[in-house]
Amino acid sequence: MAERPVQDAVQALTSLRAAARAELDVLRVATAVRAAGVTARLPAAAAAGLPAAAGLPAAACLPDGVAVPLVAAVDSAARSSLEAIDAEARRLRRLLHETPQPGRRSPFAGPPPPVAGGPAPALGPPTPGLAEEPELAGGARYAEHPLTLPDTVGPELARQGCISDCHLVAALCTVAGRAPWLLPSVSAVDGAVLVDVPGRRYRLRPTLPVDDATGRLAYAHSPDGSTLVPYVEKAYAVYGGGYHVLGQGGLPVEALYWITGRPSYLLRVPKAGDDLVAELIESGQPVVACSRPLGADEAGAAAALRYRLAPVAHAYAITGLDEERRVLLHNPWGRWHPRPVPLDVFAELFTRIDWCETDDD
Amino acid sequence: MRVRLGHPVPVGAGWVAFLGADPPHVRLGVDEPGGAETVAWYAPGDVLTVGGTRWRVRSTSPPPRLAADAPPGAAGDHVVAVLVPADDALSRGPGPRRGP
Repeated sequence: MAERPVQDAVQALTSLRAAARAELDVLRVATAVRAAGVTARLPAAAAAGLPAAAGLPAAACLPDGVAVPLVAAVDSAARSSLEAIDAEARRLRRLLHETPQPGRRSPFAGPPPPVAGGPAPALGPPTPGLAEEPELAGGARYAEHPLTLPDTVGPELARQGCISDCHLVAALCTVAGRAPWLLPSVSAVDGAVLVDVPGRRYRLRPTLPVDDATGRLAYAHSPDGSTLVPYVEKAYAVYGGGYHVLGQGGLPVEALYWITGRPSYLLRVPKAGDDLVAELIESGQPVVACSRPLGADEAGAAAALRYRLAPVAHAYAITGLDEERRVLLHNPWGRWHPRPVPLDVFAELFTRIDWCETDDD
Repeated sequence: MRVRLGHPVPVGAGWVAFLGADPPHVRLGVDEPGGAETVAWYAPGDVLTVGGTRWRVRSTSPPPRLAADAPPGAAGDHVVAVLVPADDALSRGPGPRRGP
């Protein structure tokens, strides 16, 4: 099937959801203000001997005590509308992920089905048994957390926690910002959480790593408290052999491929030239920049200070170029974002850009 | 409290991240719950406040040397600074060296 219309539909739904939420917020405030005004004015109107409806809009002629139920009704309608949009977006994302891509096969998928004489290949991945809980890094334990979906999707969707998996979180940030229709589909089914990525399905216990002392989510998380991101990270930990393995660092190109299933590449920045780097950044494809360990030499350490770069080998989501053709970087830590980096300086400080295609055109 | 190379660590309601080294100093970023970010150099014995709690830098350790093409996140577990709760006597020690 053609994927482009489905991608467009997911993107349109994402925009629609953001617009609908903004409108519903305004409606809620207006309803609350109007209802509060009515309850304040009704006794005054009665005291003045005026009919209750005098000077008030017909819809505002409500008996005392209706204000709160009215706001609750608006909240309920808003919740239903947003959930309907979410469900449709999830359905479309699953459709994208379960659609076989002709001519290309995930190297991580199982052996191909027999060409003839065997059973017909399944269209979607089968539902596996519950995955073993991936081994944790120190200072964390598992606790039950329901799946909750984010309100909005963008580069801020994912924040790194107390594990050194910037390669995965930066990949999630750039996909969320540049190709949100390629994000994994995550759903709660029969007491488990299903994470669908191209060619693979993970069935996880509804638990997430939390800090031993505080009970807060220990690793990747979202600023709005939704749990899609930590469940995707948990599935990646199952794939990678445990959180303690993710914490040893890794390659964003592998994370991009795991998330999207799309052809994924790396570009050696020092050999590429400014124009090629700029063209790739402006192409709109998901792109992750990998810095060299900047603290290892004096020039690198000075540049790290000047541009607010972490002095370590670190992955950043690239969000674009500014009007002076400086590279705009998003730190997966969710804080201490770098200052814009000129292209010629970028070539000295960064070793590679990992990226993936967003479609097969 | 151990500040590590590869990721910020929560300290109370705030966060602390490693942003540079000039042994024995380390450059630490503090992100307060309200969103205020401060960055300064600290040596062993210095005191910093995170989320309303005072901590003393007990020790620092420079990052290990890594190859230029080390994968992102490599050596992220390396401890670059150890913070301990500051008591009254120690909290009168030297403050941080402010940097750019």
